[in-house]
Amino acid sequence: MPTFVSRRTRIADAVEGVRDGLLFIPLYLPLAIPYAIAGQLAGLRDWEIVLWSAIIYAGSAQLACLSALSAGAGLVELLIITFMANARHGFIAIGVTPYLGGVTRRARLLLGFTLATPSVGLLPAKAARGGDLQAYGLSAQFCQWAQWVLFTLLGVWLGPQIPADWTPVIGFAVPAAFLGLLVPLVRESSGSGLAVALVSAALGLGLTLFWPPQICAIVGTLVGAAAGLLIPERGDRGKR
Amino acid sequence: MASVEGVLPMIVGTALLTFGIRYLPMALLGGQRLRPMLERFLRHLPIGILAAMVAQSTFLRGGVLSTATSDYYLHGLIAALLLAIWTRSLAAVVFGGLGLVGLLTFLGNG
Repeated sequence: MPTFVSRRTRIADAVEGVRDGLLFIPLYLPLAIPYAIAGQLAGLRDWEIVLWSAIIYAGSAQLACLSALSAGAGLVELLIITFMANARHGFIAIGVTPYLGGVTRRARLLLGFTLATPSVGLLPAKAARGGDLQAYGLSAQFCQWAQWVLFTLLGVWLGPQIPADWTPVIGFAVPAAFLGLLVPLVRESSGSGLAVALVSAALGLGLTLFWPPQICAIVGTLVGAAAGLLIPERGDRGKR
Repeated sequence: MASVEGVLPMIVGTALLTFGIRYLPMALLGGQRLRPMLERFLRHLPIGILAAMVAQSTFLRGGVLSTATSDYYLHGLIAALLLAIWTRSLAAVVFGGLGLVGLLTFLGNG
């Protein structure tokens, strides 16, 4: 495999990455704005809301942590919730690693920092098309990261414009955003995802009669994830 | 309400953990696979935490279970679920659900 890539090819691949990254505006805009407003409702300062977006770049974990923070969660509980919400990024990293043979260590660090769900589709597809995967991957992923930060800024600006009477209405953006992220994961889970979701939701809510909500979310998730192992995946059924 | 002292450690801690989750498999595994059972369990975790958060953010008020329907969150959740199934669009789910809750709140207050 040739390792030399001309400057012209590199620029063309970087532009292609930016173009493909912009396709995900509909993914980031509806999540970043509710996150920013939820952050303000939870009492975070505006700069903290934007800084968090810039250095973590993980919408579902940020929203989950805000919910738990509002319920009184401490740092250890927030880290456990972050791990659970972001566990899929570990699989995305495992999935794209075989395609990163020609990517430098420094670029891998940057790709790791900006890795997101779309990466699992974009990077292997670019590797199949050929060209400079490093230039393409970095530009596509930083383009998405920039959207996340800019849309967070937009949400921070929009938050105070909303009348106080509408705060309960705007608060619904949080469960709606969680649901919008959850349904595609259940669809892709080949059978067991629905059971995981139902058990986790029932325990995460029902146990709040006895324990603090953040503990219930963790226990519900662990039991739900274990319960899902009892359901055969679609691919397994044919083998039996 | 968040305590100001707790926010910066949370931001830095969760960011470092997230970076580790993303980067370490690239640095260490080099394309190896995990045991299938462990892989399935870990794949279930995001579904579980999101489902628990949907339930809690819809039905808890101030950390306490509430069955009141006056804020129309249950109505919005059903609408958002239908939109998620039909449209597969995050924007439709968020803005459609918000729109319905806003409309019902407006009509309810009027």
